[in-house]
Amino acid sequence: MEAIKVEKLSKAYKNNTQALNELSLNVKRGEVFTLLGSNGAGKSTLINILTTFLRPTSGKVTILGKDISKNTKEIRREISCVAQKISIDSHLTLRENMLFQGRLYKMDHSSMEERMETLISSFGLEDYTNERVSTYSGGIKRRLDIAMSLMSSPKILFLDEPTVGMDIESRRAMWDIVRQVSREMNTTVFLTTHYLEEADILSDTICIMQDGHEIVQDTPQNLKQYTTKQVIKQPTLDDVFLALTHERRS
Amino acid sequence: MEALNIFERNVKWRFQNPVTLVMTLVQPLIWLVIFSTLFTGSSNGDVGYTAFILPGILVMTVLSGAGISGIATYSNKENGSFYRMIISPIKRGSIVLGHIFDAAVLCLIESTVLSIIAFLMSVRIGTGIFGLLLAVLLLFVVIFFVAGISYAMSMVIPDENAFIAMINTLTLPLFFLSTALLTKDQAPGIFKVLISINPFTYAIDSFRNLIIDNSVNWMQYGIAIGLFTALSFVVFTIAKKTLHFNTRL
Repeated sequence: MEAIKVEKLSKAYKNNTQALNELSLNVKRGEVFTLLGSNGAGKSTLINILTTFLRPTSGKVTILGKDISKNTKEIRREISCVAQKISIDSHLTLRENMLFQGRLYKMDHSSMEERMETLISSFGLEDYTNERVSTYSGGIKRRLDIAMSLMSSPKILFLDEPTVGMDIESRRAMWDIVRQVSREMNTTVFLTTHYLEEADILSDTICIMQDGHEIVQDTPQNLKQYTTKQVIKQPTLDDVFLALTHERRS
Repeated sequence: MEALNIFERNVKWRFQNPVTLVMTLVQPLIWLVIFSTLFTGSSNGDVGYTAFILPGILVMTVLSGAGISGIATYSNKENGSFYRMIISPIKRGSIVLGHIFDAAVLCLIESTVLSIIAFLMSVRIGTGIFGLLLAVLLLFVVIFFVAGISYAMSMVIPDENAFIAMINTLTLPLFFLSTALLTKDQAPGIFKVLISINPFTYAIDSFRNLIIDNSVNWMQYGIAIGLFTALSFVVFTIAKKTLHFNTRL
């Protein structure tokens, strides 16, 4: 069974902006799926719909075999999202933030404590547990943000441009976390980014989108074949992205 | 339980930012200390003006404290915690209730401070401890109603400044067109009608009865608590609906 199936999904905002235009894609269970697109391609709108925050104008979304419009509450229990902007409460301590998140997902106290200890240790947050979050560095806040999103042991974790604005060292640390979440926690990861290198390194499957519509969905390796048929001998994902988006525009 | 989780989070913020408590307390405090002293003698009979004006000032505290409480929605949206809550399986009603309980804590603390100051200014509750409990219950229902409206408005008004302007615009007429400063009989012509259709008039009259008189006017109390319970129910439903519809656009 697919983790996510999107069929001809469209979203038009009240100001008539067409954010998504008959987009279709499939995400397999357990994989790291990356949605690649430039700014304004519709990535965040898609994440907002898949996380039940927005309602689509038309089209169908199935998550873990359930229709998102009919089984919203059940789906909410199975997913979690790390938003583009760090979304932790700076007036709470790390522990308070994690417990708050656990209670949102109706976890019982002992499960929360157990899960919290595992995540604190997995994400190297032991030294920060009782300090007010407002004193943390950006990198620590991001680690906590992800750890919080994993409190409920979601089957699917959405990461909306998690490395935007990070230096290369922090970005590499984040890549390790994504791998860890995918491999050790058996979680399907749905990642959006506009960093091509990131998509290439992390993904099992990449979907390139433009103007609210998918252009192509395949493995990073197969995507590179698209340009070898043309002029470039050993293409990078940058070449593929530019070739495909340019081709579509012209 | 869900609502308590939201409430606990909000209240922790409240106690770490006591300035919100102080700021909404300033205006009622000025009214209580300065105006009640200034206008002493203009009230009915032997009752001191401080005791007469206290019910209106308590309602003013609720209108400003619970009225502005919806502003938290804007900062929650800005820092992402709103999104985190909305995509979780928590009931929408629990989010609204958590907000209302937080506003209740704020307003009840402020009302306690004002009542202690009024006590120091020789105001006594005529109906005793029982009357005090009835007053707290009525105050809670009034807070529930106002905080519920504030939350619903914060869902509908997209801009924080417009929200503040709207609350300020509504608060003053609701205060002045009530029996906060004078009795209905003392009001001229058309104002009598406007005062009669203002629901806060009924709460103020009942508070005044509990403070000034020696026995509870049950008819008056029943009307006030019944009216605000019904209004709170309606407003809570509206707030839940606005939250639902504004997060599933």
